[in-house]
Amino acid sequence: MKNEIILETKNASKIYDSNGLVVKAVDEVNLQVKAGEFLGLVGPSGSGKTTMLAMLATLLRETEGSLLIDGQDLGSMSDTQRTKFRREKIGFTFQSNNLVPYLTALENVELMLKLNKKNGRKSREKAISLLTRLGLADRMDNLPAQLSGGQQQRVAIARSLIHDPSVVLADEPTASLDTERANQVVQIFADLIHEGNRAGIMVTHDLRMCKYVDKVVQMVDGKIARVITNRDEINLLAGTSEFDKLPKKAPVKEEALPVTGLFKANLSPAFVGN
Amino acid sequence: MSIYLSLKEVWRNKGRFFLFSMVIALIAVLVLFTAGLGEGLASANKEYLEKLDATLLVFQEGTDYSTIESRLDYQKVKRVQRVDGVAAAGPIGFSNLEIVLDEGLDSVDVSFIGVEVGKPGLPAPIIGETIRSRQSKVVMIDQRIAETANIGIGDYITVKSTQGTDDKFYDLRVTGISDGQQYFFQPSIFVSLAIWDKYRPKADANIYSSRPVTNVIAVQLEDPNAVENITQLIPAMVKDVEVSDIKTAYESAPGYSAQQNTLNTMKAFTFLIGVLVIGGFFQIQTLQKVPQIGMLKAIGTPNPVVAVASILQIIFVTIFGVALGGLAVLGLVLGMPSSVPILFTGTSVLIAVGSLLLIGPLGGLVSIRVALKVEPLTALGM
Ligand SMILES: Nc1ncnc2c1ncn2[C@@H]1O[C@H](COP(=O)(O)OP(=O)(O)OP(=O)(O)O)[C@@H](O)[C@H]1O
Ligand SMILES: [Mg+2]
Repeated sequence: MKNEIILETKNASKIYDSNGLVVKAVDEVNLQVKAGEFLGLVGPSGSGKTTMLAMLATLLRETEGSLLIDGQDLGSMSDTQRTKFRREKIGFTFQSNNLVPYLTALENVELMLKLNKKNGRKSREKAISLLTRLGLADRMDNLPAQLSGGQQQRVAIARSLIHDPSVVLADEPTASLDTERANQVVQIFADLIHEGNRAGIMVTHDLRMCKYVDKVVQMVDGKIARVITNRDEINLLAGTSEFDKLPKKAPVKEEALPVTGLFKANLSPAFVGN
Repeated sequence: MSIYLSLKEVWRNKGRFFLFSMVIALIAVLVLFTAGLGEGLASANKEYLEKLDATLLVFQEGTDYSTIESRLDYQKVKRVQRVDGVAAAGPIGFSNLEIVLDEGLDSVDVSFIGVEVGKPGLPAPIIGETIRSRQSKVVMIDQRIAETANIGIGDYITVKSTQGTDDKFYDLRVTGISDGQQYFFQPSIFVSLAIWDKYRPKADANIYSSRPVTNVIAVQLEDPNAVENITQLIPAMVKDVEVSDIKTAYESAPGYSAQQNTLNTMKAFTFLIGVLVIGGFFQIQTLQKVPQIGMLKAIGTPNPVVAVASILQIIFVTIFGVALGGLAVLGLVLGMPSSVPILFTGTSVLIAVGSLLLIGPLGGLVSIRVALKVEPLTALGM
C-alpha cells in the first residue's frame, strides 16, 4: 500500500569498539521510509551511511535503539532468521563485486529467486522481462566479465528487485560509472522502486543522482544533519556539483544543522568515491 | 542450490578445473602404481609359497623361517609325516640356476625347486602331465618361462649348474607347464628331489654326499582347523625344527617386509602430498573468492549452502581426476611388458582408489573453514 511506512529506525545507534577505539558510527538515527518512496542518503566519508545500510540489511546488529522492516524488529531475530529475512525481504546493490562471476546475467538474476526456492519457467520469464526492461535483452547470456560496468550494475539492480523485496538498498551503485551511465542506471532504479511500491534507499556521493530520489537525508558524524523533501531544493542540490555553494543558494531549514564550516570541511569532496 | 552453484562454477571454469584434475590424475597414477608395484613385488617374492598346496611349513630350528637358511635332514620328512593330524608331508629344496637357450638368446635365470613326487609342493600342471617318476629326467616349468623362451611340452631344456669350479649342463624333458609360480623374483622349474639334489649348484665337497638334504617340509593337515595344535605338536615330536604357517613364512623372507614397508611409506607420502596440493589449491582459490562469497551471504545465501558448494566442487574435481588417473594406469598397464612386476588385485586397487577419493575432501577442509568464516559484511567493503 502506498504511503505505508515500511522501514523505520528508532534511535538506532551503532558503536564500533575495536581495540579500545570507540567510534559511534551511527548516533540515534530516526528514519522512516514509506512504500514507493526512494530515499537518498548523503554525507561525508565516515559519516555512517554504509553502517546504517548494513544494519538495515541485517548484516550488522545495532548497538542501541531498534530497526523495523514490515513491522518486524530486526534486532529480535536470530542470525538464521535474519539470513532468511534478508533473502526474502531485502534487495541489495553493492558498489562492486555484485555478481557471481560464473553465472550469466540471467542466472545472476534468477539466483535470487532460486535462493527463495522459486524455480521454473515463470521465474525465468520474470527475470527475462526485468532484464529487458533494464535494456539488457541481448546481454542475458553473457558472463559478468563480458559486461560493461554499467551493464553489470543494471544486472545487480535487477537482482535486487526480482524477488519483490519490501526494501531495496544500494550502496554507491554508481561509483564506478561515468555520469551518463550513472544517470541511466539510477533513473531506471527509481522508476522500478516507484512502480513496485518498495522502500528504496541509495547511498551516494554523487549529489547529481539526488534528482531521482524523493527525499535526501544527509548524515554527518553518525547523526542526521538534514532532511530535504522539497522537490526544488532537491533539484537545486542535484544541480550543483560543488557543495560549498549550497548554503548561499538554498534556504536552510530548521532540521538542518547550519554549520557552514562543517559543510565546507566535510562535503566538498562530493565526487570522492571509496 | 549447492549443487547448482558448484556445477556452474566448475563448468564455467572448465580449463582451470581440468588442469587441476590432471594434477589429481597424476597423483592417482603414482598411488596406483605404487600399490600395483607393492602387490607385484610381493607376489614375485611369494607366489610359489602362496599357491602352495599345504598349510604349514617346517624349518630347521633357529633359522627364523628362512627357506634359504633352513637345512633339513631327509629323515625328518618321515618323522613329520608320522605326527598325528598330518595328512601329508613333502620335502622342498630351493636353488637357482640358468636355462641355456639357443645361440643368440639370453639364458633365463630360474628358481630350481625339487619336490617329492606325489607329495605337497608340486603345483598342478595347466598343460601336460605332472612328474610321476623319481628318477626320470623330466621337468615341469612355469608358464612365464614357457612364454618367454617359447618352450612347449616334449621339448628339451638345458640347465647350467655350477658345481665346484665346473659348469655342468643337464638336459631335461618338459612334461608339464604350471601357472605362474615365481619365487624370489624368478620363475620356477620343478623336478623330483632326487634329480634336484644331483643337478643343483653346490660346493665341491657336497658333490658326492649320499644323504639328500632339503630346505623345508610342506605339511598338509587332516583337519584344517587344527593349525595351532599341529604347529605346537610337530616341534614337540620332531627334534630341531620350527613350524610356521605359509603367510608367516613369506613375510619372514629376507627383505620382504622391508620392501613392503618402503612401498607403504611411499604410498603414504604420495597421499600426503596429494592432500597438501589439493588443500593448497582450493584454499588459494577460496581466498580469491572471499568477496564473492561475502556477496552471496549478503544477499541471503545460508552458510551451509556456501560450505556444501565448495566441498562438492572439490569432490567433483577429485572424482574426475581419479577416474582420469585410473584410465591412464589402465592404458599404461595394458601396454606394458609382463616382466614389469606390477599387479593389481581387487582389494589393493579399492583401497588405493578409496584413499585417493578422500584426498580431495581432506584437503578441502581448510577452504571450507575459510568459506564459512567469510563475513557477509565484506560485500560492503567493511
Ligand atoms: N568495522 C569497523 N570497525 C571500526 N570502525 C568502523 C568499522 N567500519 C566503519 N567504522 C567507522 O565507522 C564510521 C562510519 O563508517 P561508514 O563506513 O559507515 O561511513 P560511510 O558514511 O559509509 O563512509 P564512506 O562515504 O567513506 O563510505 C567511520 O568512522 C569508520 O571509520
Ligand atoms: Mg560507505
